Amino acid sequence: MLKVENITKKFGGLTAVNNVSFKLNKGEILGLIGPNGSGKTTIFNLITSFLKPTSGKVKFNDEDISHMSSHKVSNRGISRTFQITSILMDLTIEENIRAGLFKTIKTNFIQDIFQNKTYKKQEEKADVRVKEVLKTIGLYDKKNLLARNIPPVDQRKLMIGIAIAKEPQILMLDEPAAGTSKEEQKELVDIIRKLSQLGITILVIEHHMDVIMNVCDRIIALNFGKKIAEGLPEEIQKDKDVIEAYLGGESNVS
Amino acid sequence: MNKKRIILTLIILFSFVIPFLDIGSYNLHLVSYSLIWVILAQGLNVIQGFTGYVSIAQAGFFGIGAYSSAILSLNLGISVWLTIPLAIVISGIFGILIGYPALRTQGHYFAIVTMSFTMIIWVFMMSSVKFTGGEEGIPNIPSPSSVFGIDFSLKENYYYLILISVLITILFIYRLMQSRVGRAFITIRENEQLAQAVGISLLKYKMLSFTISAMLGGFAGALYVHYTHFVNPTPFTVDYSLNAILAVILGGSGTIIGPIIGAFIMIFLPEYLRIAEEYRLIIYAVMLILIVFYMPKGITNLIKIAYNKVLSKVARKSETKK
Ligand SMILES: Nc1ncnc2c1ncn2[C@@H]1O[C@H](COP(=O)(O)OP(=O)(O)O)[C@@H](O)[C@H]1O
Ligand SMILES: [Mg+2]
Repeated sequence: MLKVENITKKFGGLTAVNNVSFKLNKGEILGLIGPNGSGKTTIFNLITSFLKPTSGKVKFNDEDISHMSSHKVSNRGISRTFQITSILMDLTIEENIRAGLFKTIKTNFIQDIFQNKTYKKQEEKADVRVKEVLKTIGLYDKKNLLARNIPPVDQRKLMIGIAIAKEPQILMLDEPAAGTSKEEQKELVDIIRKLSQLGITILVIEHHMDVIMNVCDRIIALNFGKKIAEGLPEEIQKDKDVIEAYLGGESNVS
Repeated sequence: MNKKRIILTLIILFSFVIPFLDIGSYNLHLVSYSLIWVILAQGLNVIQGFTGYVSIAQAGFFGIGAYSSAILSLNLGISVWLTIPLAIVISGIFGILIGYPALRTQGHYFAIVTMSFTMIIWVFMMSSVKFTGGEEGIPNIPSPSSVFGIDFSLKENYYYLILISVLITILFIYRLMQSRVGRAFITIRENEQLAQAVGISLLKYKMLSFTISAMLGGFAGALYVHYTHFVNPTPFTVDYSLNAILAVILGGSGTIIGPIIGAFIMIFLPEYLRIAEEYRLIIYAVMLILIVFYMPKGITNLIKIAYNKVLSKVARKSETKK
């Protein structure tokens, strides 16, 4: 479904991503792990065209998307979240989800201004979808609160909600559990599983080993921008290079 | 919700009877001029308040609308009913031409380009005497022709043309902001990175926002010249762009009521305080600083807070009565 082919990204003298290739298969949850600075977020930015590759390609359903603009990649059906919480802080939870529905509301300018039947139907459809998403991420009861005023874990959930609102084919999560407690991580794992069951293909970067080992079908490990291992969670856990990269064993990831 | 409707209806009704009140022709003129500024400020608010890009071009678009409609009606003899929409279109085209280079990059570049634009337009108005009359300006600009026997050369009647234009503008903005387009503007203002991630083309929607603001600026300019029957470059300097920005901030940027209140204040305040010209800018600067520090959400927000306080007091009183 998604193919990353020999992708390299250099920032001046620093090679952040070095000739990485992998495939994301339909329906799976693929994990991306590696120490800080190993190039995980850069790979996300390359796939979603927030950065252009120095060399290599990203193919989505056999189309080269590596030089497309970000909003177009998004509209092809690839949604993402960000490592640092990126939501609309001064808007309500509900309005945040609605922002995610931008491309699914099919009205033209004239219909918007005259608020004709099409406009009303489309907005009603959006209402239904907003409610559905809020239920999925468990924030329905808080829908009228400002995003600024909810706890960090709810903000992480909200960011996922915005990303899935338009029913993407692929969801890319950059450290969804960043800054959350063990308890909260369980809630996020449940949400990720639920989304997978709904048929969304997921690529997830994670810091917390128990999250990633719990949720992923397959894992890719990076170090210094290079792919050092790929396999099932059990295999990765035992992999020598991976253990070495993390200096101190499986749980001490930082 | 219903209470809001009632207040709104009362305000609209009141605005329709203003020419019948004995406020004097000068005050009626100030109200008319303020209403023209409401359109100007509503336009600016689209890019500044809703999309988050402060534009210093609004006086330039005001001028383009004004001169376009003046020249087309006077020199080419086209009906004013047609030159006003044409002026809107011409301003929109300038909006696209300026917006494209100015909005492709981020940061202060936009402010600089829009300011230069206003300066260039002003210099053009001053210097191309053959076309614009230079500093002397253009006199004898016609009124719109009578419709159903309503003579629009009378200020009282022209007032209604302005008023209806304002109401249409406000309704347009209100609907715009209830649509996916308006929500895209706000998403861009709040978080450009997220906007891209949800599939919003930054360039396209910033351009659209800026073009709408240009068109409304031009609309205001066209209404203005057929009201004063005279135009020269004076009201189109960077100063006036800054006044428009101040009007939006003062009233409450990113709200619909804000620019209305702000426009009236910016027109009435200097008249009533009889502020000497040379101190005007200093007073505006002080006002701007005070607003930014003490009421960043403008007067609209203060009114909202006061209104809620009164409501809760009333509620408390009626409760103690029980
Ligand atoms: N925009 C950028 N400009 C320069 N260097 C960058 C940029 N983004 C990331 N890097 C560098 O690239 C390397 C990989 O970063 P990143 O992909 O964020 O790592 P990870 O997400 O795995 O922690 C780091 O050394 C980082 O400093
Ligand atoms: Mg990262």
